[in-house]
Amino acid sequence: MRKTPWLLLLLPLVLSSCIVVVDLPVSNFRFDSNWQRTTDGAYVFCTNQDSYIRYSFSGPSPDRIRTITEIYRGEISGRELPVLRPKSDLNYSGGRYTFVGKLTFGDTGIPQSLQPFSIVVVPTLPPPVTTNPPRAAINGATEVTVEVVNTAGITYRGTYTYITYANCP
Amino acid sequence: MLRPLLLLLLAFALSSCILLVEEDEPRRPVQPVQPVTPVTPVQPSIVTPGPGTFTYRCSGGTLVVNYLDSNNLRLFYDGAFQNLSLVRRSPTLLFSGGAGGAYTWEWTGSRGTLTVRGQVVLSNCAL
Repeated sequence: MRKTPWLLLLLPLVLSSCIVVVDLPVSNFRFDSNWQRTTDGAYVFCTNQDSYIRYSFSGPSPDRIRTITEIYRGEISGRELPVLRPKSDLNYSGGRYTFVGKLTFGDTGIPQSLQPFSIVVVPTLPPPVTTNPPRAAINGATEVTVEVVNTAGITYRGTYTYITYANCP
Repeated sequence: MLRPLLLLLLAFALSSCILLVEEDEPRRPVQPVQPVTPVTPVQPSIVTPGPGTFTYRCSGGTLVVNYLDSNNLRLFYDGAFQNLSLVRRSPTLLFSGGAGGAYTWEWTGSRGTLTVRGQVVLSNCAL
């Protein structure tokens, strides 16, 4: 009986020294590119044409994000390329981050050069059947994983596998 | 009268005369000569990059080729792995096979060409 007032008195004191920080989770990863397959709408890469990757995700303000890493894995070659992406390369607007980059293919890696403009999706795959030029053909697949680590050390991931094509029109 | 004149002429003639005396060089013994087989010029052999997996950049896109050994490779095209075997070593390396035997991969030593059913689909391939 006599302890209760003391406890009630102590409780506000303890709570007043406690700061609870709740980070917004990183979520809702989305991936696309400037090439889209007409048969199923899948976003693909064309290895003979300019190909752009675009990904976005919802997350807290940049000061709550520690690192962003892209991991490109060639499913046929077995090569893996991690790219540490500076936060400044992403556009942050309305609680959403967006990155657009131009891809290069081959053994020298898939480095991205930032192209901060919106991409135009070209829904022309597969192309109309013609006799002269070689038809577009699947020549591989690139799995892209985006890893976001917040300042609390929690890692969030989003993954998409892009089928790659040769001889895009 | 004539004698002093002759002596004078003799002295003049001898002063413009250079006497060259050649000595015989010592003769070296002649070595016996072996018959030599004519050498046939050898074409430099084309080396396959491998074994291992390589990604070529070509006109038309990229191509992943996995050299299994000096006679066999596996490449990925038309959404599937195609297994090809060496059919020719000269003047270029030529591999053939894949689904229906429709695929050929020709390697010059620096450039490659992929042909499918007789149509060049990837050319000027380089590492």
